Amino acid sequence: MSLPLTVAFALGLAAHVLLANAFPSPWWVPDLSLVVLVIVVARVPDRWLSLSWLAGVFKMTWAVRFPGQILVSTLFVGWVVQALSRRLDTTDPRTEWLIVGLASLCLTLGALWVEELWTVPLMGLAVVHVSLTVLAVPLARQVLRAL
Amino acid sequence: MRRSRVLALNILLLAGVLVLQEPVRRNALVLLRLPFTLTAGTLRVLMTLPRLPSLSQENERLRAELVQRELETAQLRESLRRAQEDHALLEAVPGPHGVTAAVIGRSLIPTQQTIWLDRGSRHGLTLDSVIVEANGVIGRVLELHPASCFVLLLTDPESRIAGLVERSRETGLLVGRGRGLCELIYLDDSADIEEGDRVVTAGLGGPFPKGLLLGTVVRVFRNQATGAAWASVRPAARPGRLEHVLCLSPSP
Repeated sequence: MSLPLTVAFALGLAAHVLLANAFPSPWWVPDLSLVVLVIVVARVPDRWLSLSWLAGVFKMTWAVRFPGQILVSTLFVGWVVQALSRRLDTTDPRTEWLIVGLASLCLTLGALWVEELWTVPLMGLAVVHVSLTVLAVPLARQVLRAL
Repeated sequence: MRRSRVLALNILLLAGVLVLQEPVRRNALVLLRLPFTLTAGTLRVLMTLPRLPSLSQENERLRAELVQRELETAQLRESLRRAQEDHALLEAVPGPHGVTAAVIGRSLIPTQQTIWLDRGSRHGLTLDSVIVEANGVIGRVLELHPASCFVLLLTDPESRIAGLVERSRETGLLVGRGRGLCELIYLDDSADIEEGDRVVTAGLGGPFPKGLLLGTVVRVFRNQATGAAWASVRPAARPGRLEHVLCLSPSP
């Protein structure tokens, strides 16, 4: 894997932690780990397993509940991205947006489902979280281009 | 006729000077002093010229010293702020004292409301140690490591704390809802609770000692059909803005 992609991946994970510390609620923090996972795996699909493991373990360390589910879901996202990259151009901006949006939506709804948190305010916060994650895609692409 | 006009003018001038004596005096003094100021300034410049190289060096040294002093002042100010915070934390808790800890991380997972502290079992913390700040309860230790711990915030959906309405002594269970507000549940339809009531820990079992502030009631819901009531409670502590917290030692 090229150095810029490695740096972008590490920067994405570090930025996720920094943003989580800066914002008052985790709902307002875009899931940058997911964004960089999708973007990097789309470019180097052969490394999906190691990258997914890294992102999954990274997210899992912050989880006090359901760490296994979080790891497995992150691995699944990595697998899906590499599988899609063999059939279509996953580096296309619109495809990346779509994949990140769908993955974020599935992960967030899945988290609400396993935690049994189906309330209207939380659904609203989930929409905000997914939207922020999708909006972080062009920013991550720009950082990758700058590297 | 001419004399009287001059007299009038003089009187007018005198009155003007008397009324405006202070600015007039000040400006007059400036004008009077001007030649002396100019002479003294010229002399000073002439005398300073030979010392210019050393003055420049001294100026640089003083600038460096000023920067150093400013840095020291900033550090002292930060230390003072930290000391004041710690003091406020210790003052806030009447009972057992504990150790202060810094918040070093926050949850990346939206549905799990936790913070990560830089104190662990090595510093005397145990599972379920109560974490507070000057404003009120924050949560309890859920996951313990030697030098750090994860704290379950009272806003987390898994958080359950026995609460007591300070004014009316109604008891209920304060549960987190995964966002900014909590809910006080298991209240009777006729429970004496209203907006603005303070909710404190009831001390009914569990790790939380009685009387610690949990939050304030912002809305009460009553369901006559089921005979139940519940209240939205805004936590007193602001978990999103925490820097330092107090970890209470467990009761003996």
